[in-house]
Amino acid sequence: MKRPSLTLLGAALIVLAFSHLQLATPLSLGEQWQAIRQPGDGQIEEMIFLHAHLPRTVLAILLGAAMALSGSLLQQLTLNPLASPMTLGTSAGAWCAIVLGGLLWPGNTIGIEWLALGGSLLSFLLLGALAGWRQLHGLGALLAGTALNLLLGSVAAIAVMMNDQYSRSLLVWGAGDLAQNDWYWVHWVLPRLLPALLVLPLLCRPLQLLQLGSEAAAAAGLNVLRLALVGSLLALWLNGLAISAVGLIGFVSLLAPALARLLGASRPADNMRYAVLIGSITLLLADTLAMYASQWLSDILPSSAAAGLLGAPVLIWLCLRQPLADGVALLSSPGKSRRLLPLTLWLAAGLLILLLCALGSRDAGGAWVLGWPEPAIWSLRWPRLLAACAAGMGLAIAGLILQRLLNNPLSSPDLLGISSGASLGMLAGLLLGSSLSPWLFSAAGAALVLLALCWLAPRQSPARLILLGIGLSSLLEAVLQFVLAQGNNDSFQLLNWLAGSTYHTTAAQAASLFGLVSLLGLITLGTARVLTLLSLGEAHARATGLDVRRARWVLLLLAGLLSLVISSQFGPMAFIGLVLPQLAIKLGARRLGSQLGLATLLGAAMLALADLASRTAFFPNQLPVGALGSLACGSLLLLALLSSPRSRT
Amino acid sequence: MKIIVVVLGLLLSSLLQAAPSRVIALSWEATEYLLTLGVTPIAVADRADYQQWVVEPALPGKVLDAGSRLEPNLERIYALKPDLIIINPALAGMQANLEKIAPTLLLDAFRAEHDNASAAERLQRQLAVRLDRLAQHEAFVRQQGLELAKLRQIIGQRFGAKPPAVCLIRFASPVSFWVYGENSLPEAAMHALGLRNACPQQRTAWGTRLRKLPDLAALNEGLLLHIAPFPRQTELERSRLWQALPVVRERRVYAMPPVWTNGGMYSISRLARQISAQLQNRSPD
Repeated sequence: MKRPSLTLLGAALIVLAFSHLQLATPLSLGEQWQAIRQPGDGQIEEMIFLHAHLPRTVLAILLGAAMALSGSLLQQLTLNPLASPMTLGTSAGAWCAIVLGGLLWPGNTIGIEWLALGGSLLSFLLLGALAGWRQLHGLGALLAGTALNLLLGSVAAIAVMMNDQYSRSLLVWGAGDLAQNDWYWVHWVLPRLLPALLVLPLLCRPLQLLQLGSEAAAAAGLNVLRLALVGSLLALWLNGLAISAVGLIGFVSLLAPALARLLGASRPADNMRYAVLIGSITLLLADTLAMYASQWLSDILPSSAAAGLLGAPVLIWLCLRQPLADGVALLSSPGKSRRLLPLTLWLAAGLLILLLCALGSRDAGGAWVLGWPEPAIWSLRWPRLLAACAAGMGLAIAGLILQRLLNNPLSSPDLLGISSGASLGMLAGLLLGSSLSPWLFSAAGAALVLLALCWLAPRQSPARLILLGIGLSSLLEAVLQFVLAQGNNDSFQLLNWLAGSTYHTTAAQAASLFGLVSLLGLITLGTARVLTLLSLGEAHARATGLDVRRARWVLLLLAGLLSLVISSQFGPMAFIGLVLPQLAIKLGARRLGSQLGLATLLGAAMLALADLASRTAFFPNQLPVGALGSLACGSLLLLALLSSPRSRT
Repeated sequence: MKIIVVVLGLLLSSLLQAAPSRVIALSWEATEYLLTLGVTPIAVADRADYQQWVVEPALPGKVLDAGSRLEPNLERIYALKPDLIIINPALAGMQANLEKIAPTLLLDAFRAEHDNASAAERLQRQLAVRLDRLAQHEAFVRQQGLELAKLRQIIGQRFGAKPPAVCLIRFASPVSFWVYGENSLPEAAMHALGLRNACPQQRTAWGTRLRKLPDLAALNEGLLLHIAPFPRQTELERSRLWQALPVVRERRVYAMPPVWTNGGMYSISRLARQISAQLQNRSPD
């Protein structure tokens, strides 16, 4: 394909910037020119043009460029065509750091951009530890990034919910809107952006070398480590600037460099040049859409939501056509796991934990109590305990199926897109203001995604399906930002649900959830032979006469159903389905049967503990069980990673 | 013998009809109704935030915290053995569970379909009947009527037939704000004072809307009252756009002390008092 010249793109940018300016102001062209040349007679329309619209256009161009460069750098450093601050979870890290910094440590004097840089750096390190530094080019990095997104999102949600009155305005700000009231942010961004740009030309040649692969580049005399360090710091800094100035705006950083590559600009210098222009164009376009829509909608549509609505379909399309290495870091290499303790011992330990969780509580005065509860208290407590246990079991089983099915230890049910479908359905119900139960909407949303997955499953490779899930979850984030940006009571109810609250579960719901999960678990046990065969590799499985395609389809349906029943009740719960099956292997359960049993037990125990903590830790306030469970599983994983230094870091 | 039976019967019936005395309020508007009626709840939801954001009517120190308004702590509520629980629609899904603990009253105060100000009176009266406090309620209504009439009269004396219009907002960020329009309690307070809302908005359930800073350019007359505190005040004030707004240049902006806008009748009185206090700063044109 002959690519359009830079001049053409530049012209498009100018035209777009021009129309972006015209959209909002009633001033004629002559008056605008007059206002820019000789400001000062103080007409209010002129002031709005000069101090709200003009800086908004300029900032959109600057930040679009910064985000695009950040994505381009990350994609070239990781050699992963879908890498970006959004998909790798570093944006979420920055946002989380800003939220925590503002809420837990009010009045701190650290610049917000340093908080953003620190947060994104930490989450980038976490990502490297999770996916393996040499595996960042593969699907594993995206899986780990999505899991991190969910986890950090729930940490931020907990912090926001514990300070709900205060954080209303935080939500409005964090939703990512480009509206300006003077030139402050433009003046703030410029001196922080331009020096960073001076480093870029120095990176072009090393980046070109790196495209040969890091071994070859090292052999050619490149200091790969130094390049990676400088490059990733620069990328995170650029994205952190954008987040500090206007809040979270995703997509641009992913789409601009990817589109640049599609246009044929694959050499580093070319890619960056094209990405800068395309990034500015994309953000301007999204912001134009946002301003236009806000005139017609009764509520304000933030720029980020518009960017998401534009970007998500493109992202899904990119995901489905992008060749991507299926490289994966194994969390536990075989041989290292210890011997499995007898199952009875595990059962006893699990029962003990369950008992502790059922009996532990705080009394009216807040003192700790461990004892048989009154029947009335028990009838309040058991539904949520049972529901939490069922969710933990179901997620562990679904995670196990997916990990065996895809031969990929980083896959987990919350990455399939089913929980995103459930959340989108819930949002649709809220926005439509329907009087029907929101659960109905979330179940319908999840079922739609599951149907699409089942339709796609025989046609696409499993890795593609996961990518589709990632695309869907980013679409969800866009719509979510629109709702949260209103900063009203609905926003908080939604946040609560998204953080995985079991509070509203009734006895009947809990019992039926437990029944369904147990049933699906038993069916999974019945497919043990097929799962074992599949995890030995596809060729091996085919040789034994297994209908691999059909087996895959059935197993996917099974995992999908589990995810559906759980996420339509409690929203997405990150990390639980990812960590627990792996933990079972680490504890010595290598055979499928015992892994299934142990993972299920761990799931029940883990979420029962989360329920206990939710009821008692911040008494009388309660935290969402799902967020606590994800947090616990995420930290377990981190601990496991840190305690077993792998040979190939 | 007969007398004993009669006395016993009377005692029994009075016990059966005894008004609830251990009340838990799981919404802030219900907390306000209770305190206005002179009933001290044994626990309220989000107690610390109430003291920071609602402030008045002041919560006695011995009132316990019942957890958050979205997810109050059921076990603590049970342990406190209430005889009445008051909720708002945010907890409607939990009503069946709460009924197991104590009779639960759902007060639906904020809806687009009804007038929130008159609903506040109706709901507070309903609660007063339930708590056997009708006399207190009616005394409050009478006293509020007198106070509002007096404030209205003072404004009339000062400004004559054309008092300035008022626009009431709360800043969300340096570029956006929530504005209080039709069906909001601040607008009800303005009308009670005989004032016009300078920035009318379409009717919504809470009467509020998120708007953008340039929208304030249309405010050519009247006062702009913004509810303090706004943590990013300096960012707002250094902005050229803010400084250029007619309402700012003509010094028609006033900061109001913290006041709750989603309460009930007490909030309306308090808003009216504060609005008229701000008007006293303004000389008649």
